[in-house]
Amino acid sequence: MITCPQCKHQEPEGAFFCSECGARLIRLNGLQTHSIQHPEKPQTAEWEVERRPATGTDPLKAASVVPEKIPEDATIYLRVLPSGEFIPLQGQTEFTIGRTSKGQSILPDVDLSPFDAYAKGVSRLHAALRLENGELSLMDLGSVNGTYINKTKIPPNMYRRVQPGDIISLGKLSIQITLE
Amino acid sequence: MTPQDYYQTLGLPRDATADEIRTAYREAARRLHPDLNPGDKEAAEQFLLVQRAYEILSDAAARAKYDATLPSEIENVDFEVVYSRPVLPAISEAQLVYALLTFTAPPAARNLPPPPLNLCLVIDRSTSMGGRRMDVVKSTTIELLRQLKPEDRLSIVTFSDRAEVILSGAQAGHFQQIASDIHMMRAGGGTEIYRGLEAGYKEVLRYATPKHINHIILITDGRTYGDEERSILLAHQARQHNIGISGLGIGDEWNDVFLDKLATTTGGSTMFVEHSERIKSFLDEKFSALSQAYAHQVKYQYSGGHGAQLQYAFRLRPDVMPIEQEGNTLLLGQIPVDGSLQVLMEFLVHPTAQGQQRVYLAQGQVSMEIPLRPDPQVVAPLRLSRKIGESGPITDPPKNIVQALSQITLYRLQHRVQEDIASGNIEDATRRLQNLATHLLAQGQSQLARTVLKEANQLQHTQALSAKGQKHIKYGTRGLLLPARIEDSTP
Repeated sequence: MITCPQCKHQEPEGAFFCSECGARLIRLNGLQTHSIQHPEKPQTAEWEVERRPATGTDPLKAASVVPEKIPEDATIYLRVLPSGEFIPLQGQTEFTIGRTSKGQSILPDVDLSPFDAYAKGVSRLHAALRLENGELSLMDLGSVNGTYINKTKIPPNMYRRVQPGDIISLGKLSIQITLE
Repeated sequence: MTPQDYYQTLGLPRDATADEIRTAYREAARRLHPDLNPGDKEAAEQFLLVQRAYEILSDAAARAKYDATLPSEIENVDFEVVYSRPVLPAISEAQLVYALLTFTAPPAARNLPPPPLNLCLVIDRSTSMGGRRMDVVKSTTIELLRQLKPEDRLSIVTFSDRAEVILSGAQAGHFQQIASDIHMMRAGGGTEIYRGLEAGYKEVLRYATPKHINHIILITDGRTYGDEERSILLAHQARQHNIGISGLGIGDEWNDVFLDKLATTTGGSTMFVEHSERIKSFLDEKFSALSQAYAHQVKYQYSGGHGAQLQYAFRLRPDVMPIEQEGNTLLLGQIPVDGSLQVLMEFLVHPTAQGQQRVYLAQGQVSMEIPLRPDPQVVAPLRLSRKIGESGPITDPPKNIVQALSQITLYRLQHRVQEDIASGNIEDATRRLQNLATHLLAQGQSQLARTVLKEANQLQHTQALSAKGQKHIKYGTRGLLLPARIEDSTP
C-alpha cells in the first residue's frame, strides 16, 4: 500500500496518482510532467536575495547552524514562535501544515491548532514542507492569509527552498525550522 | 498456410522468459512424445513442431533473429502495448498495473481511398432549438451534403415529439430539392430522443453494408424524459449491426450522462458545444474523423486473467472517451488512417502466489472491421500479461502513461464529485472540487480552475452544481487529454 502524502488515502502498490485527491505518488527522475516546480526560474538565486535582509538581524538565525545539505539522520523540528515549543517532523518526506476544525476531512500532518492558529489566520491546509535530496522546500497551498519566508511572501502552489534557521510565517503565526 | 508461429506452438506470449520457454517445452514434449502416443500422426507432427520451436526460442541469438521477422501480432495493423512496469514485484498485497494499447494503421493505408460513409443526422427540432441553433444546423447540413463522395449516403431525421425522415440515404447530386427540404425544417415541440434515434437507426440500417462506416450523429440541446432506457436498448441493437452513435450536445440543458452512455455503448463519442457558432466546426470534425477511419468497431473480447481485474479503460486517441465494460467486451472505437487508436487500461493485480512467474491481466481477442479489405472482419488473439520477479534497477515509468494518468486522474476526480453529489455527500464533493482546482492551477489551466472553484462555492450554497459548470468541468477535464495538449506539455 502507498499512503498519499496529501490526504492519507491508501492506494495499491503501483498507483501513480492518488484517486482521492489527485496528488502524484511517484517520484520522477528527469521526467518532466506537470509538476508544481517551475525550473525556468532560478529558485536558489531568488531565494538568496530574499533571505539576505534577514541574516544577522535575527538572533535566532545567527545562532543556528546552516548546512548546505540536510544530513539523512537529522531530525527536523518546527519551533513555534513565540512560545518556543518544538514539533518534530518524522517518518515522511512531505508534511502539510495547517490547523484542524470540526468536520474537516483532510487533516494536516502538522496541526497548529494548539498555538492559536485560527486567531492568527492559519488556513486548514496552509502550506506543505518537503524534504528531497537533502533540501527543504516550502509551498503555500493557496492559503487565505499567505505564507512568508523570512517576512517575504511567497506565491502559492510553488515550492520555494528553505533552510534550517529560516522563519516561516503562516498568516501571523511564525515558526522557525530547526535541525538536530 | 501461414508459417509456424513458434510462440503459439508453445502457447507463450512473445516476451516469455527463458524459464517459461523451457517449462512450456518440457510440458508439451512430455504430452506429445511418440512413446506416449503410438501411431498418432497428429501428435507426432505436433511433437516435431514443438522441437523446432524450442530449438529456435531457446537460443537467444536465433530467437532475436526470428523475432525480427515476426509480423505485428494483429494482421493489417501495427500494434503495441506498453506497461507501467516491466516486471511486477512478487508481493502479498494487491497492486496496480497500467497497459497502454496503441493500434496504428499501416502507412500504406494513407494512400487508400477513404471508406464510404453511411450516416444519419438525427436533429432535435424542439422549440428550444429554434433561432440561431437551427440556422447553424441547417447551413452546416447543406454544406456537409456538398462534401459527399459518390458512394456516401446521408439520411436526415428531425424529431420533436415525433420523428420525420427528411432525407433517406441520399447520394451526391440532386442538392436543390434536398436543400429546400432542409430549409423547411422548423423548430417546435418537445424532445423525445427515442423517436428520433429509432427513425435514424432504421435509415442507417437500411443502407448499411460492411463496406460502409455506419454512424448516427445525434444533435440535441435538451433532455428526454422516460425514454432513456429504450434508447439505450436501441443503442445495443445498433452495436450488434456495427452502427456507431455519437452525440453533439448544445448548450447547458442536455443530458450528458445519457448521451455518453449512447456513445460508449456503440463506440461513438460525445461532444459539447456551448455556443451555436461552434456547431459547424464540431460537425466538420466528426465528419472528417469518420471518413478517416481505417478500421472501426475495434473490440476487445477478453476473459479476465485469473490474477487480475480490469478497473477501467479510457480511450486517449483519436478522441477522448471513457470506455465502458459491457460484459466481457470493450468497444474501443476506430483506428484513423493517419493516426492511432490509443487505450489506457488499469488492472488491479491480486496478491501473487508463491513461485508464480507471470500474471495474466486479460486474454482474449481483438476484432475489427476494415472496410477496405475484401473480408472486412479481422480477428486476432491478444493476451496482456506481465512477468513477476525481481525488479531490476528502478526506472521511470513510461512518460506517456504518467502524462495520460495525470489527466485521467483529474477527469475521474470530477466523476467522483458527481457521485458524491448524487449520494448527498456535499462536503466530500466540495473538497474534491477544491483539490481539482489546485491541480488544474498547477497545470496552468487557470480558467477551468476558476470554473471549478466557482462551482465549489455554488455547491455549498445550493447543494448542486450548475448545469453549465458541470458540463464545462466534465468536458474540460476530458479535453485535457486531447493529443495536442499532451504533446504540448512534452519537454
